Amino acid sequence: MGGVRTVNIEADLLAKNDIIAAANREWFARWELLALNLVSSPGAGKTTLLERTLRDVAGAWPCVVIEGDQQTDNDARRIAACGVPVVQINTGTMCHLEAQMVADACRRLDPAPGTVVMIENVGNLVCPAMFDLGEAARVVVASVTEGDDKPVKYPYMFETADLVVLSKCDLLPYVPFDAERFEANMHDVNPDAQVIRVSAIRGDGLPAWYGWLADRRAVAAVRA
Amino acid sequence: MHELALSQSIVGLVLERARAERMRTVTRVVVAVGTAAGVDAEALRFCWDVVVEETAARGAELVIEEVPRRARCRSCGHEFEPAAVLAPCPACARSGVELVRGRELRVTSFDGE
Repeated sequence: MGGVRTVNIEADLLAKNDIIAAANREWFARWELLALNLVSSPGAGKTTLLERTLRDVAGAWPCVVIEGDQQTDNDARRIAACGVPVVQINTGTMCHLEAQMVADACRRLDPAPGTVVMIENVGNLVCPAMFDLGEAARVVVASVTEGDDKPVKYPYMFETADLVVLSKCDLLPYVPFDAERFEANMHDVNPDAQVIRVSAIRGDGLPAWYGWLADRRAVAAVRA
Repeated sequence: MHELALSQSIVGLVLERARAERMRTVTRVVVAVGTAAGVDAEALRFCWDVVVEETAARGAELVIEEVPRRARCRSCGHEFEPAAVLAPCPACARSGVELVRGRELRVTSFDGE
């Protein structure tokens, strides 16, 4: 016997992650947890938005945070200072979070039913687009210090968004960013995603963001 | 660089199956990659030689078969092969199209003995 043989396998490469993500999604639903996957380029303001959000809503709704970064626990320390349970995942050389990392972090956090689980992904507009974590919604944070053509430059990420938070809007008078053009570009990529303009520092737009969170949380509570 | 993680997944899948098939070496691996899968073929190839080193697939050829994208217009239902990811519908000129093909990312087959 011997010789070269061909084996047909037709195996999906993301199948393993997708199976774990589906299990996460089922677990989130069973415990009425609202899990959000926050993605953006580095420095778009995810952590600042989270800090402000947690200070404003964590008294009313239980929240936990999963922080993904290649290195350091700087962000986890900022979140912990808001009085919210947090697990830092260091991905090392990896450029994205995977569903298994989220499953492990959730086991450590053990959130009570009704908790909002904020997953802050690694700052990167490319790789995290491919990896489902089991979240109920994907929130892309884009800032006005970036280009207003980001949605068309990184369509894979923006087309999977359920919500886009346009951050740092207090800087609009000082930067060449055209918010209308951004929204038009966004609409070309993904006509269904809502865009909320916010300033986490000054507070603009936060009621709309909290309203969206409240609606999503209500959906998570009845789905189970 | 998720191509490194993907290369490792490819090798993992293939070696597991090769063991089940009682193969000692893997000489060729064929993967199907959609042109809208968000994967860079060159980066995948670059990572490949590194991840197969010290495995039963050492030196195996990686064949990447591109799967062209195909889109369907959400407004009029027209199906077409878009030149760019964001191309509007050529029939009704509206944006808002969904991809029905082109996100494939799978190991099709492998050769071994």
